[in-house]
Amino acid sequence: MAYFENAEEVYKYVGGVFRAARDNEQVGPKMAAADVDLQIYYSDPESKLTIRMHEPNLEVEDGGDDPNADIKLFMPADIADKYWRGEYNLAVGLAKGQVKAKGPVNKILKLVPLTKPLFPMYRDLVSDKDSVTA
Amino acid sequence: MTEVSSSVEQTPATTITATAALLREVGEPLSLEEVQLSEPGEGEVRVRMRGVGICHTDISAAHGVIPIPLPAVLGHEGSGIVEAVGPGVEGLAPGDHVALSFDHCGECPQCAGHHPAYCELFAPLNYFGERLDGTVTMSQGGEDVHGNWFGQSSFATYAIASARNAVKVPDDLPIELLGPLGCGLQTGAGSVLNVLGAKEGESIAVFGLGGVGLGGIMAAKAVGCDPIVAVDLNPERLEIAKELGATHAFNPKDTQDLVWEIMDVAAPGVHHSLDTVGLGPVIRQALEVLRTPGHCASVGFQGLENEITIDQGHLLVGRRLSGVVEGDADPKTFIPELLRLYREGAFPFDRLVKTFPFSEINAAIAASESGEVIKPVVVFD
Repeated sequence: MAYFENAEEVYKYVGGVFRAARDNEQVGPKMAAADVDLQIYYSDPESKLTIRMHEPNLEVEDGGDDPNADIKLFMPADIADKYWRGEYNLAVGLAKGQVKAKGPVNKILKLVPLTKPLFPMYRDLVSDKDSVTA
Repeated sequence: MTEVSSSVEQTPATTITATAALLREVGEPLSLEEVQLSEPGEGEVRVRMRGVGICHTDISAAHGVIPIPLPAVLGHEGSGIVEAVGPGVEGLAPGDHVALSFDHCGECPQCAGHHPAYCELFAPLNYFGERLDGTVTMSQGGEDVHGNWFGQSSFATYAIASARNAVKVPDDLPIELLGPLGCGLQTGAGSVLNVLGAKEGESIAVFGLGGVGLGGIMAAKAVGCDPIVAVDLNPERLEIAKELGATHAFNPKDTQDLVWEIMDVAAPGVHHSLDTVGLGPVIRQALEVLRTPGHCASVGFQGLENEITIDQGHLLVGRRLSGVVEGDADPKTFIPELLRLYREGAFPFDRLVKTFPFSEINAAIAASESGEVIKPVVVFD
């Protein structure tokens, strides 16, 4: 059974952690410096996020669909949940084809270490949902 | 009843402190600092390092071309002596001399087919400095230090290495010099022997005469290639290439038409070519000097995105261009083969080496970058 019930939950929690990254004084500027547009397509539930990282801003668009994004990622939303909990190795997922990518993925892998401090924040974000579903 | 997972000696838990050359910021010099090592985990060994080569890939990572999380410890041409083994390790025991190579899963179709350099998990196992489960092998005061680069991070007095990487070598050989067999030399020699399959009497051209290219020259000489054409901008490298077996040497600065001159040596072109540079114009030349059919192996690394332009019409008549990692070698069998050639005097790789004390690791890196030294090897007390 999928962790997120609908797209709105993906936007609340996964979109939420990207917004937390944007607002984090340490992480936000470094991610904004990546100078890429990232488009993520999730399945189960179908949902999508556009993340525009250009100094000095990081913009998060729930439901956004930018066909011209520099990098596109395709993954089940459950993988996004596991990743943000710190329980999923994105490089392994890419190698095994569980996460599919188009574009210069190297630029996204460079951002992975920056996201580690956000894992506790994400776990806090989903703790309300976890307590209901537990 | 208690199950014992390994037939070899297990070492009791101890905290080992190592001195490691930390990369804290991209582009900055490495900083010698104390770190704490984790215990060897499942399938891991702790190695007391005796030597480690400086490789172009380490330098690329230090300049941010490869996205390793920081702080990190680089170094992936290590050699040393096994001091402790983790659970599940077979075939290695404390006291064994080992050369360390690249990590691989050992289970995917490529690994099962003896092509571990193309392991499905090559990138996550080698480039990100942490185990697949996200844990690290080194720490400093509670801070994670990414000490699993190429399953070894051997710019340190001790390494926690994957047992899959660790190739047992005879203890009568100069252990401190054997690390480069695990990457640079393996890449050059493996490309010639495993990928190009060069044979006695066949012609070959090698572009770029660093440790990789000269490893290719030595391998070509060892199997009896003739002519062996060496190409580099550095006159000293051309001289040593000739000493190691090149029959012809060309400096592109001194030639009017390099491709024409090489084809004149081996009309109607060479059977094989090896590009160790990775720049578009060089790869194009390495293709253009081929006869038909002919095979070019390209191993030069210029970043994970490196667009080049080649003439597909030139390829059509049976010419091949292959990208190659680690010489498509299985280190467990290939390093012993290189050592056999070394003992016979046919692979004198030690001629490429200049040693530096660990305290001068940044000077060793600078010597590699400037071209002053072909293969700097940092040695430990």
